Amino acid sequence: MIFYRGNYTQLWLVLTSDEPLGILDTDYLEDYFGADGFVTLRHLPTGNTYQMPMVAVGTGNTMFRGFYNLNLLPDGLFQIEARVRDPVGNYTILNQVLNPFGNERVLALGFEIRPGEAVSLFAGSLLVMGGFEGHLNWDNPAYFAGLLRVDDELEGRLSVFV
Amino acid sequence: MRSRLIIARFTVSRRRRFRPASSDTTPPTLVMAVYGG
Repeated sequence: MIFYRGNYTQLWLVLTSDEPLGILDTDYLEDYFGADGFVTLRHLPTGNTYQMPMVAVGTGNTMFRGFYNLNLLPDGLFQIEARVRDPVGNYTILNQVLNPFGNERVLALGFEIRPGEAVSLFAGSLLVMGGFEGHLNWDNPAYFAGLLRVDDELEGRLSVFV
Repeated sequence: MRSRLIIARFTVSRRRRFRPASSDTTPPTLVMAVYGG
């Protein structure tokens, strides 16, 4: 997933779950270090980490979003690091956390920040106006449905062409 | 007065086994999107 920084000043991240999330200690996500209500953005070339606060969108506990000052984020590959759970205690880690239990599912989510504008649109791809370019996985309905389950505010800002 | 023996027949339905609130053993799957603001 490539993000072209263009002239934007904020990088927004939306995480969508295929089922409602449960409370960890005090919130629904915790970052690499275990801080509730945050996710960690790790810049892979340097190892530097950035703590992004995440808030729930709506009341379903399936969608969370946050933003970070884009001017403080360098170009390059980032991975998202966090832990979540469902209401009955099945855990998922995004990439890695400092203190894993050892039985969590691990998902790899990340993106790349590049300079310039998103200008390409090619067959089989998804281009969202606002600097996001990525691929749809048609073989994974959960992915597809989750990606398109956006709230009204986002719908107004994300135009999807497939 | 002769007492009558009344045999009541009843059936006790098999007690339902306790089931946890959910048999879900699948961890949540998350997808992401990034965009500019």
